[in-house]
Amino acid sequence: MWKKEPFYRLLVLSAWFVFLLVMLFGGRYQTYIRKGYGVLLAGGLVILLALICTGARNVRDRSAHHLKYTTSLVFLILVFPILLTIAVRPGSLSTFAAASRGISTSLAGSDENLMDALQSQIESEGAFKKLNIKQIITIADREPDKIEGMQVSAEGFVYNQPAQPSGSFMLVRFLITCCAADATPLGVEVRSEETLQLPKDTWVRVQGTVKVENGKPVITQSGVTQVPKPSNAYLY
Amino acid sequence: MYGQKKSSEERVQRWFIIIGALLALFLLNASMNGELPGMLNFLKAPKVQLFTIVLTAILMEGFAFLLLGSCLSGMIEVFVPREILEKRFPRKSFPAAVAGSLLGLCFPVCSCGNIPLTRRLMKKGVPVAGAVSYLLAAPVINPVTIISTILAFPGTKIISLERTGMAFLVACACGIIFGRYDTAEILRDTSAEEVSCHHHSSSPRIIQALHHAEHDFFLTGKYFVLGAVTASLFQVCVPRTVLGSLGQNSVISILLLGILGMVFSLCSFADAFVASTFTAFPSTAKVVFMTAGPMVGISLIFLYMGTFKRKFSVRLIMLVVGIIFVLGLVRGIAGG
Repeated sequence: MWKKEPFYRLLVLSAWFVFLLVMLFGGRYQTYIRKGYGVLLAGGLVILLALICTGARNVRDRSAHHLKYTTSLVFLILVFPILLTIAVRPGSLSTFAAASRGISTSLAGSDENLMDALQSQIESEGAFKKLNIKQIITIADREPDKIEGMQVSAEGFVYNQPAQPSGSFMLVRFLITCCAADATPLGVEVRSEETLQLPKDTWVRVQGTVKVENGKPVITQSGVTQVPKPSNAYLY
Repeated sequence: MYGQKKSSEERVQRWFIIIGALLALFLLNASMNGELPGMLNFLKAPKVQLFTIVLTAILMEGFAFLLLGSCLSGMIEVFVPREILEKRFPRKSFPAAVAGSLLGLCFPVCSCGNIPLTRRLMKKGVPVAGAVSYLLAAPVINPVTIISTILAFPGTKIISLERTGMAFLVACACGIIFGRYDTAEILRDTSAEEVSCHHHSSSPRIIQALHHAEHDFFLTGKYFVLGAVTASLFQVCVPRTVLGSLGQNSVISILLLGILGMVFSLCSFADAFVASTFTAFPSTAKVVFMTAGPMVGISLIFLYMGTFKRKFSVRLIMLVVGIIFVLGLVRGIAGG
């Protein structure tokens, strides 16, 4: 009989507890799942804690050594994702994921009268209205006349499409519904008269004028400034 | 039997030790030669990064529901008498299948979480027809998924109705067909749980419930991890851009999106928003994508194979896939 089994089960539960705790309280879970889903993690932690307490009881109870329904391979499988995440230490989704999933320049949604709804919430940076890529795309699709000619400021990372004209790039950010597995890259074309040598994945702030071409927004006459990657790189 | 299990367990442990020792020697040698930093650069490779992010994302979100499902399962085992479920749940196949299909409206657990729950319901006397239909329908026919589908397709609310309708038909059909099965033909060996159940019968009931929850979590957790690894590999290796112009043909598009839905294994709350980006594809193909994934996604296939007997699992998966594609093709040919 493998007498250490209850102890190893306790170890697996504890490993996941610590891992999720660090992810939750460090805010790092936002790299993987939607911001508001911290509640899910918290619920999972509560349940894990209850299971750990039960597991600790089993370890102390000598006769619990009769139990045997897991193997060493099972333990390895269950801790493998934790070890992988610690070893790889991934950042957020990048241009590789964007290329793999295909940049979306339009978006489904029911945001009618979005511009009016946002009016009171939009911040300004001097003469520029601070909008995110999702807002720009949605307004250009539904209320193009309200955004045509507007001076906007938006942030995202640089994505250079194949066969792209010089002086332009795609400004991209990932839109998440539940988690990184469903993340969709949203992109807006940026045209600038400056000669830009921006490597991919560089985070920039673009300030320019929006033109709507065939229902798709383009930011023209743009000033581009490199910025640090935001703590939360995704849109929701 | 016990002696055979013990020796195979010891063999597995011995191999782990040998492989671990060889790996440690290899890394030590590489470190002494200054080759380790270069070798570890592969951890920064975009595919490895993406694989890790997707895997961790699926697990982080799914484990919460898996733990919840396991807990509910444990509570049902200890606190809900068998007689109540046997009396309250319809016994005949057809009404049981319908009732099971609609149960997700009351118990909206994610697709991975409702597997331990379904297993427990079967053991507690819920007819197989009801349990199977709940297993398949609950991830789709629940308030959250219905609302998220409506939001993802604002101009065409009928898509939400079609998705719900397709899931209802598939779940009911499978429930009725498998309703003639006995629980013993479906559930895997539960002797380990029965031994531990007997051992813990003198503990407080909440401890008993948690003990069952722990067992269910370990039973299903390993298959969930394996399924998530497979789904993540597909997400890395199969770009969404491969869809290209394949949406022109309705038959191919339905088959393609159905397979993609199974391969991507997205959460049922989110797959509608991903489906909405497939603008070149007909609506029927998107409905098939959104129905196939939550019912027979790769990660779920692993969970089915680990929780239920192999023969039943294979038949269930093939039947679900077959019915979804037939319904999709009929709808597509009819002009959807």
